[in-house]
Amino acid sequence: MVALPLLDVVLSSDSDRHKSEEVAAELILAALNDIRHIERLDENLAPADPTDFDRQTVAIMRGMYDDWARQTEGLLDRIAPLERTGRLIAGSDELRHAHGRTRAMLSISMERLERGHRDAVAGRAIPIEEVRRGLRSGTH
Amino acid sequence: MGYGLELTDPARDGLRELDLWLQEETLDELDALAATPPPRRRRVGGFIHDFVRSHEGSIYYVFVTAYRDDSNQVLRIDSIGRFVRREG
Repeated sequence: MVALPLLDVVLSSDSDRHKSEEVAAELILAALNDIRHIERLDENLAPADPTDFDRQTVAIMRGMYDDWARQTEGLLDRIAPLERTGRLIAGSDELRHAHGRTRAMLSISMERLERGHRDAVAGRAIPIEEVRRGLRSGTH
Repeated sequence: MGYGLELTDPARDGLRELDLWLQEETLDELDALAATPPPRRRRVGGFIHDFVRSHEGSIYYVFVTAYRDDSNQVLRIDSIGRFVRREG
């Protein structure tokens, strides 16, 4: 998202509303392509043995997702005022959803992710029926 | 053929951090996920699944990682995360 300053320039001039919409839509498309590339890389790097957990690779991938999410927040912040004036920016809903999913994924700490995987592989888990009972009785 | 469904302690910690209504929604979603077929999307951190709910002017994104124990036909949820965005 190296072109983000371009959007600032176009927005500050405000001489051509269509130009700002087009530049914003182009940057959204670039951001969506970026997250698709990251997700494909993530899938391609999944270990052949599902019991494996490669902490270093997971950390690098999370760093890429985090960089993308922060840059996307910069873009969404700039688009929001345009949309508040009633302008429709192509792809903005799809980008917000991709960002939401990514932030939900990153909300799981590395430690929790690793411990959960270790417990799951070792079979240390309780059946969902027990979780439901606990939820309803307020003790889970 | 569906899988059994279990949650690890870290997954239960993640579940507890959700609003009560979303905890129920999440358990329903996980039940459906384990029913058939079990998840096939896999990344470096394990199998993944995500879903979205709208509630009282906010959008809730929930992200789940899981381990598929094919030999015992059990889906174990590793961890649960969430992100909330105000609509509009």
